Amino acid sequence: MKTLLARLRIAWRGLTQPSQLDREMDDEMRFHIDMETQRLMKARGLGHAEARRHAAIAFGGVEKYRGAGRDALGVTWMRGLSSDLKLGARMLRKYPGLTAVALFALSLAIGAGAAYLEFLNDLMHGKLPFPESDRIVGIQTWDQESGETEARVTADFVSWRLSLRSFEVLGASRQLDGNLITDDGRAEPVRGVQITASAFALARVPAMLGRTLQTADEQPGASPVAVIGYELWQTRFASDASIVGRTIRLGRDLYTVVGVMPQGFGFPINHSLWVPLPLNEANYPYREGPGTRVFGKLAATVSVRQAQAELDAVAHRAARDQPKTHAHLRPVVKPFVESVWSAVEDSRIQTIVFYSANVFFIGLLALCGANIATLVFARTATRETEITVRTALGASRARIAGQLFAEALVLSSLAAAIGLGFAYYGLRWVKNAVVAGQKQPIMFWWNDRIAPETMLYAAVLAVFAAAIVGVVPALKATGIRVQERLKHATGTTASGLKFGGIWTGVIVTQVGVTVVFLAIVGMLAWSAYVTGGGKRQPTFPAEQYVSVRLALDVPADDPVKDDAYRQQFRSTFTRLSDRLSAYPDVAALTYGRRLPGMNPFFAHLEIADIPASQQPSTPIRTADVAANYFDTFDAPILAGRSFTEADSAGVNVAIVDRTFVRLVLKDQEAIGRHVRRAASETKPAGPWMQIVGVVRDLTDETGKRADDAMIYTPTRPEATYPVHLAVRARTNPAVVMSELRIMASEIDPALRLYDLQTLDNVSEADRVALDLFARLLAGVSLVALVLATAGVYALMSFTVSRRTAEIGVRVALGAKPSRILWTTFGRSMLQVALGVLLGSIPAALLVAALGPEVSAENGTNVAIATGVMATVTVCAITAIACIAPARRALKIQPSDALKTT
Amino acid sequence: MSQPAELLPGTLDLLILKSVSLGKLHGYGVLLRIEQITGGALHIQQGALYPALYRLERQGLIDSEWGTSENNRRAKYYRLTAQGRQRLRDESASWNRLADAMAAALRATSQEI
Repeated sequence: MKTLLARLRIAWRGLTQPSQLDREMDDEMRFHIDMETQRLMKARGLGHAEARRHAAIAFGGVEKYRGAGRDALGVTWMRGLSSDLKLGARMLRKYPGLTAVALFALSLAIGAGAAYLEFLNDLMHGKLPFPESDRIVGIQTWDQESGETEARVTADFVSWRLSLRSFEVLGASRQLDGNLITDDGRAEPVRGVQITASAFALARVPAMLGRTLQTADEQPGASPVAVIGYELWQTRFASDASIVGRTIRLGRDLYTVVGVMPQGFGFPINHSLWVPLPLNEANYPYREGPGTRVFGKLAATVSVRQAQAELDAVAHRAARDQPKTHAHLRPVVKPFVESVWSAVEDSRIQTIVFYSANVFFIGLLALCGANIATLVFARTATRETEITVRTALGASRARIAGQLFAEALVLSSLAAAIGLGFAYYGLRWVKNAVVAGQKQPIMFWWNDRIAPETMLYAAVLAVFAAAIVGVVPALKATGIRVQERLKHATGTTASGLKFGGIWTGVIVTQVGVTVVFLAIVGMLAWSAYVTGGGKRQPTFPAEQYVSVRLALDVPADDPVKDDAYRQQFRSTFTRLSDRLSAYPDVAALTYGRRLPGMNPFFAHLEIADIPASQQPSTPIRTADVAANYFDTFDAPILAGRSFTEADSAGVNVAIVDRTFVRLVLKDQEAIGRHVRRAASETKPAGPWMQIVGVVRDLTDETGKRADDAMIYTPTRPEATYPVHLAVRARTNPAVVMSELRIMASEIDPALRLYDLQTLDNVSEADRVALDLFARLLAGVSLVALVLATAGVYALMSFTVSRRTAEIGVRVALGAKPSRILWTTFGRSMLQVALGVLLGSIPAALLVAALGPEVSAENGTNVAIATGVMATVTVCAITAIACIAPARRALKIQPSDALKTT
Repeated sequence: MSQPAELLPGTLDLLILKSVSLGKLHGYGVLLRIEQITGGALHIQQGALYPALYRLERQGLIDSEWGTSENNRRAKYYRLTAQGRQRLRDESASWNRLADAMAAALRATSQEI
């Protein structure tokens, strides 16, 4: 280790202060010769000059030993690298255009790769911010028969806690969603968790105020206590320093606050309130009771594998002793974060797949690198004389390749630094988008930092990019025999570097890829134009409607099958709707499983008396709604009737919208027709429902497709879950919102309100992902376009400088400008044309496939328009890239030809 | 005085380590110390001392710092590191074994065979 440090220190000095290192060697050797001179003068009585001569001879040549000294220090190649890097930095300034294009493309590619790795490492394999976090694990229990996880493991946990030896700490938690009601009457849902006190022993994070949960709190009869999170303490309790000891209300229950956790603590996932998990009171039978998460900390010397072996033995015994419940159950130990998201029993394959996706980014980088290599090659060609002369002076091919590599390394390192900046901001954007999408705090271990591993990865990518950008052109450029090139460099022959097969291939591919990308982006743009960015204009004044999701504490997985829940919800909902209706600013209210504009539920439908070939092929949007739903949203019934209160009791009727009639029924008579949910692999077909009415669409009908069609069925509020309430305000929705909160907490403290907002703010969650995808695609397309333009420019520019002499002679012989342009650029233009042609085949297939998706009626026109647009854009851009080189070609005079030959 | 012997390959490093083990020295001091402890019996190309010093420094066997010499000039001083001391012990033992074996071999007479 010390040796390594000594070496690194010397290497660093060799790289950063090569001349000082030389000076020090000089000083040291000169001191030696001076001392020897003095000794000789004293010992042998020689004169100074003579003594010095003898001393110098005895020493044997400062220059020689300084060289040997550098070799001994291992800094000889460092010195070369140091000067190459400086030259590289100068080259960046000298060719700003190339630098800008290369930095742009490489930084995006490196940044994307680094961001992806950081995302994987941080989110999926993140480490909890606790001491010895690599020993913290989660235990998932898998039913190997059904292939699903079994969350009802309370009874197992109780027995594991007593018997397992592999774990230092074992704990469990259970989701606790409830309204936190503060003294001012504000009732807002809070993400709480019932958790064993052992979780705090596992985390080893002390409370910021008061204390954490203790084992005594779990005992039967202990007074109910709660620990709250920092954000909750700030937002709901105004950072009250005397909060400890105060009583808070959570739904119908009272708890005494005993502590406040520090900022950033959200164990197990993103929680902000912790109360004891009452295990002793709940003697659940095996595979019954609520879902419970089990986690633990491995004992100091125990590996995941050993813990798994112990659990396997326990599971084996349980399968033997309780075959009815445990025959197929297998508890699986995983690193904690992995146990949170992993949806397969053996998550290794999943992990491998996720990490393998890095290949895509490496491919993208290689593609960008190859393109930049084209540009660098064109630039290298302008430095041909320099390279030839250096070769003639004895520089090896490796030395010159090394120099070009070092230059490329400067470029790619800078790109990596910028790329890491992109990654940092990109990930923050994704994080915010996720928060906005799920309307919940983020997993508490997801941090904003870029980890050292990611920086190292970016550095590796930078070296990889430098290898492509620098070494390939270098090997190409130094491949020709020196003699030939010397002849060329001195002007005796016209042979020299050529834009050969590889580069032509790169440019043709580049142009082709750009056409394909533009076609995709074109289709997306069309789709966004046609569908209004995925959000359709509602046919009612959405900003006047307040929307809210209602929830009561859910006793089981499927609450609508639970009689007690139904009864309680019915009574709570009736009281709430009565009070709201009586409020002067409320014009109307209704409810539904989904409200207009929300992410819908889809179902495959079967229509009676229609041949199989005409059955709808796409799933149809469904919504369970109240009887007054259409009235409330100002949607007139166009045929038949609306729902009645009697329908809501479970009569099998349905109402469809006009789009359904138009695109699913193909304008046939709808009223009286029967439809049902088609049978699937897991579910039998639903009951037949009679269509009793046709309603005008609740959103703008323009450009709708068959899968935009809606079918409504009647329901009661307690019979659908989740249920959304829509309240139409007469004047001010904000007032209705705050009134709604107060009413809800007064009527039932256990009634939780989620996503309270006006309907015009409701966005479909899918759009977050779509938005991200669109931005990514737009970024990649922009890179492709910029690289294509730069590539064509480099090709043309290169051609002009190569053929200056020839053009000059042609001008002297009286050639017309058009003739000159054609003979000069003909071949290059053919390459571009080839690229466009090759790219337009996959592009055409793509747009032809996507056309009908975007627009049912005008699919073909859209496809043709997009294809033409992509091709014309690429041609136009390449034409623009040709302007400067063409002007240069036309300005060449016969005298220029004389100068170059 | 007899002709100085040529240095065997690899022995210069050992001699340098031995010299600096007796106290910190500048490069020229190392040369003088070697001459002193070998009684001037070995011929050393003076300049060759420096690449050897740098090599040992790079291996972490000796450490260096700039200081002031006896005649008040700036000079670079070398000192043995703990790792160097260990190396010196090992190399000395191995050298002694070799020297003993060589001496025994060269002393052998026909009667002993």
